Amino acid sequence: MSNSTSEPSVDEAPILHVDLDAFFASVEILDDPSLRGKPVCVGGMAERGVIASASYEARRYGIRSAMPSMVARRLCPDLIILPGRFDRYEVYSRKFHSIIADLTPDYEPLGLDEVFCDLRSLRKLRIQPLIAAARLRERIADELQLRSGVGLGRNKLFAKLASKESKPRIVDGELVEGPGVVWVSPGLETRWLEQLPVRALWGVGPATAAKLQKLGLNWVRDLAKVDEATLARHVGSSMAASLAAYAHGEDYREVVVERQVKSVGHDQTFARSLEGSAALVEAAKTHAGVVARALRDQGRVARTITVVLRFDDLTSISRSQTLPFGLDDDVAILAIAEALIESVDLPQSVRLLGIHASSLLGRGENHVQLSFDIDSDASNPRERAHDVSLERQVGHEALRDAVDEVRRRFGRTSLGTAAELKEEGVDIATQRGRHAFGPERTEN
Amino acid sequence: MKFRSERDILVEALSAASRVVATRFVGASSGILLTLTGNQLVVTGTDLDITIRTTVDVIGHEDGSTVVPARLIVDAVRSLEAGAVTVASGDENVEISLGRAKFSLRTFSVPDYPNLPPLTGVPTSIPALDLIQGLNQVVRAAASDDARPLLTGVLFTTEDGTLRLIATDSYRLAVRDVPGVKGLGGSQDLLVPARALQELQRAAASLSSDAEIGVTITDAEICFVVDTTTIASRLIDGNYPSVLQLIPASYPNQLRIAKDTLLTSLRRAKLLAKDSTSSVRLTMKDKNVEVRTQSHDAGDVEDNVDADYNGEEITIAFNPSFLIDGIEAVPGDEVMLEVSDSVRPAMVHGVDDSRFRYLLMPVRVQ
Repeated sequence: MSNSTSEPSVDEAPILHVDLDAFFASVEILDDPSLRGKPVCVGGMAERGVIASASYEARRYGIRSAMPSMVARRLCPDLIILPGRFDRYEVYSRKFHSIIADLTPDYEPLGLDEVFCDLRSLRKLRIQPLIAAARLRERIADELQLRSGVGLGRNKLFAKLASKESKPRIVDGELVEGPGVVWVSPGLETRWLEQLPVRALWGVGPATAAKLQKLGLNWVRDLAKVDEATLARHVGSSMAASLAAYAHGEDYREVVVERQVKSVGHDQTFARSLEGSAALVEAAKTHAGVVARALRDQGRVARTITVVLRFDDLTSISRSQTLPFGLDDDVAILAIAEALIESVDLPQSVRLLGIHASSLLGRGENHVQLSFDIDSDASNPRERAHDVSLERQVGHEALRDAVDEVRRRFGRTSLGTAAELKEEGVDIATQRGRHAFGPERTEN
Repeated sequence: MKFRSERDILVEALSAASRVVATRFVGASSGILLTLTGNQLVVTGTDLDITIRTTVDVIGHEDGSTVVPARLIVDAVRSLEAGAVTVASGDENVEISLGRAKFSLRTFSVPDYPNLPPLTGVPTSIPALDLIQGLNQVVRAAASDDARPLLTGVLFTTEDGTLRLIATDSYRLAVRDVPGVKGLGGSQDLLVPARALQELQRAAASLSSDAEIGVTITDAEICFVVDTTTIASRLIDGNYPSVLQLIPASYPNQLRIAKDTLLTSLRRAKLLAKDSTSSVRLTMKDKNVEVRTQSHDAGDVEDNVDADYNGEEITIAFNPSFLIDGIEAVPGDEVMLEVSDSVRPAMVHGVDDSRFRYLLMPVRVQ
């Protein structure tokens, strides 16, 4: 089961990492059993779409996540690529998190399908990490019908490497079961690092890997021979500090337990990049609607609205405005977002637009300073946006409550704004936060 | 130029000039102009919209002028011991000394200083007390940020031949009739920057009750003369919104309450209302008013003040600072608070006194 025969204590294996296997694709197969046994992927289907999740059947063709969808299609012409249904994934994710929460409250979710746990608070319960990990996998399999891999180690670095090792793999086109649970015992850490390519390290993407390769640093063991200052000159000081630590098996990141959601956002990569602020403002209507609904679902309002733009050269900028009152109205959020978008120079076309709401307050804590209705001589577009959003936020509360009530009773697509009304019916976009992976559909 | 002056007198004149100088300026216009003629020192500061000139009596040794760095000279003179400060300017610097301490500060060139011609015109005199009392009640309601330039001014208008002052930041509106003062602009309304009026309030703080203020008005400017200080300001150009129509003709609910007791209670409640997202909630009942602030992070505070109340039981929330501003400005021991409902403007005024009215928008709690 593990690469060590002795059973580690909580202090020898304090950090646990669980990762659900082929999560999005597996949920699709659970929801539609006719997909079972077929090569299934979830991902963007347009030009720039990428594979977000691939079933093991798809992986037999060499398809991996983050691979461009067009390449995947070439590898497997029968590949079924499905658009993401994040509301379903979130349902499963919540159940997954509640199983984790039964083990320990000290957990940190990463995306929807990965979680780090710090087991040290369970020391007094004399929990054996390997047994706890095996039970966790069983519960996830029994209750969610999902497979998972669990890694245990002294820190996040080794726990994550171990969970990767625990997974099934494809050897010569055939699926080979993995061990399911892997513990990296302290005595074996150095051997683990020895055989590890730098690309396997946290935060090392293709760009950093290429820089390291130029320096002749392909393996983690190579990194240990270079001093941090030299690394810093090539990859920046914070990356250099992390790399230097990893190279010696150290990882100073704690398991961060986030007890409350701090922001609500929606990001979308466009099938075709948008040019000019008018097109962005049009697109932002969807974002504002999604964010407003997500806030209202949670009974919260947001005082800060942030707009994130990613350009074709992959550089990003963000602009935000904080108001003296909280928002949960789509038009109010759009008014602020529109002013922010228009405050930005747009030298090139935009491939991703995100709208995020933060500085969250409970709806009952939203104190709105009302103002007189006097002709606005506001010379500043942000001030005008402030006025518009204040009026909407305060004036349309009853309307929002009514819309929400209809949706609660008759379903979320029972009622939509004119912009959400498409030929096929009401199209209510679902929230996509950090998990955005590509265009949802091609145009037309 | 060389003179001697009491430290405190000099600090006061320099501070006023320094407050006016715009921090965005560089070079000579970021400085303070000192001009000595005989025993009279004129201290000038400007941001080109507002110019303040104070004449102080000093012991003059040598006439002349220099431009000194604004913030630095205030701090330098203030840091000296109490006593007679000697100021002597050379070609490119000024020496400021007292006892064994001596500053030598670099100066700007006098010809580079903006040319500020004094206003021409016949000044009218108005009773200082009436005007300043009115300003004390109204200026606080003007907007302090530049988002709406018109609202950063106080409107001087004429009602029945006498002066009426109006200011609003769109959250509260203060209106003060000044029966003792004739309308200033004739048929013309004047929109005077609140910042200039704050300097006027400061300059007039130590005037005797029967003193007068000189006022000169041209098309684009207004100039006040208070004792030895002159404050000139560009008028704000534009049509002030018609705000008087915001005042309701009558109110169904009236609260009559002891001013100081209510203020004490509100200041207490304000301790837990630190930012713009928290408010103080008043529940008005038959014989009393409940004052309460709940802060999600910090806790809550509750108080109960006796009052005469005429109307139905009602709960209404306000920004405590705005409410305190209004109540403080009401003359007399008692104050009237009139409300319609929890989302429409409330009115604060004195008992049997309608010269000052303060209209305040509530805070809505969802």
